[in-house]
Amino acid sequence: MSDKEKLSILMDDETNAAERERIIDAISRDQALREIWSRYHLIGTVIRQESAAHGAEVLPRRIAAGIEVETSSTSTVVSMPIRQRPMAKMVGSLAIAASVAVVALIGVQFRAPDSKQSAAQMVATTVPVATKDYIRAAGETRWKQRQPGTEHKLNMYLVEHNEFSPTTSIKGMMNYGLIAGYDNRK
Amino acid sequence: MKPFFTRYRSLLFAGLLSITAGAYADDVAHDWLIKMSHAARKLNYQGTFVYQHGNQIEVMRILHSVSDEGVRERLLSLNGARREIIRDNDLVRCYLPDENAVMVGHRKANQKSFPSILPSRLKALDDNYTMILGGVDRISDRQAQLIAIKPKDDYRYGYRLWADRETGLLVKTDLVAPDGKLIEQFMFTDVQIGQKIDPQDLRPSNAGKDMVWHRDSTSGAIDMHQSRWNLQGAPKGFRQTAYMRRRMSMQQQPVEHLVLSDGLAAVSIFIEEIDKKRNSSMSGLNSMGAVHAYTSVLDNYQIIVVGEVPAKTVSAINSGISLNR
Repeated sequence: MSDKEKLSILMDDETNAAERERIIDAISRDQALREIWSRYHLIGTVIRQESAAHGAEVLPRRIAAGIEVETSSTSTVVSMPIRQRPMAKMVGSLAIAASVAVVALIGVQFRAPDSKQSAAQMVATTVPVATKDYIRAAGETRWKQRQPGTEHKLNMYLVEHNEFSPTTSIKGMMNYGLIAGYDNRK
Repeated sequence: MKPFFTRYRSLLFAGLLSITAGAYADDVAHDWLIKMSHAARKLNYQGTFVYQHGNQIEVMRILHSVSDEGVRERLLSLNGARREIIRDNDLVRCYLPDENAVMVGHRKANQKSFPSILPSRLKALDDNYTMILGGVDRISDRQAQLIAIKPKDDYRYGYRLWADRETGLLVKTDLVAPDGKLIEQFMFTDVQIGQKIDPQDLRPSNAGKDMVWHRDSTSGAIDMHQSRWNLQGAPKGFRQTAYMRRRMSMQQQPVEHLVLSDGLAAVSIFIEEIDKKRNSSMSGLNSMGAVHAYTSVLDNYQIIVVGEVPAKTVSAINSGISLNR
């Protein structure tokens, strides 16, 4: 199995726990694999934003914003986009993705005209290196315990709770982001 | 020999100046918090923001309108399933097309329990957090003032808040773990502040005709003054700010709801009588993003403690709950 096949399997979550652990270990140890993992997710995000409500014309700006999030962060948390989606389903969109990704890279380069780095280098350096813990956390944005009936209940409780959180009075509806946005395909 | 004051005059002056400057910075940070709270409730705004949590980025559209018709808001996920949440004054609807469901609820917080950032509560907040006035950054092409809020123990998260200098609206926020690691981040990538919102834009994109609607059976909550529950395990600084009983969506039995807050973070305790016909399966620690929940059974009640706090906080609160007899 090639390295890229391993990554695809991991992204598709089409493997058992032991194999998954093994691939995660391999990625954690291999700089090149980590960078490929980063690029896969960048492409994935481009594809998804292609179909977003506001159309393709704002894509470079959004991608640039996403990368700005990463570069402005001082923490070790990696801010790569990784809503998971079977790679098989992405094939039909890859041509579009590739072209839009180029636009996105130009957008990034345009944002930093002083930089002597190439766009590709910039992505490679601005997308932080994935750590084992980071990869392990992929998709863990739903309730970890998921039993029939529990998610609806916990989500409803969370919505109710948010009304009473003082941070809601500052963040407004942003506080509901977890409900509106959490990954549901995992 | 010089008198004491003469000898140490410059030192005393410097000390006094530093204390005064520190107090001034605290006050300015407090003022910004109040300004942000006011702006979030009173201003019209709409924009797109990125929401990064864990290792995932979401892109969302947010609209907030204040008019003669009251406060209307809409939050729409721009990625994946077209999930959206619409608030029309007290009515809240969550459209979850991927789950074929619409959840309808009513805002329960009344004037007394609505969690405003009030000057009277800011001093209590100082017991649990250190406020630091940061620098000015450019966020979404606007000048933004940073206010850093550091927790004094590991029972609560820290916050970095960037407020638009012109209007006070929050334009970026970091949620930070007690060890300093970033947990989640919101940031506007574009925002328009103060412009009229088209009512059409506040409507849901899907009428939910073919979806299953879950509704509150009652619109109001009964405020309770005297809790019948003892809370012994709450970490320092968390005090009860609300206690009510009501029916909730999908829930036959009335639910008791207690809220604890340290002035910024909040934890809710939901207590429901166990329906013996239904076999409840929730137990132990659960989490989603920065939110933790701890579920347990006490006598004939299921207790769910949930909040945007570390796991140890919900665990400590849950383990300290007992029924007054």
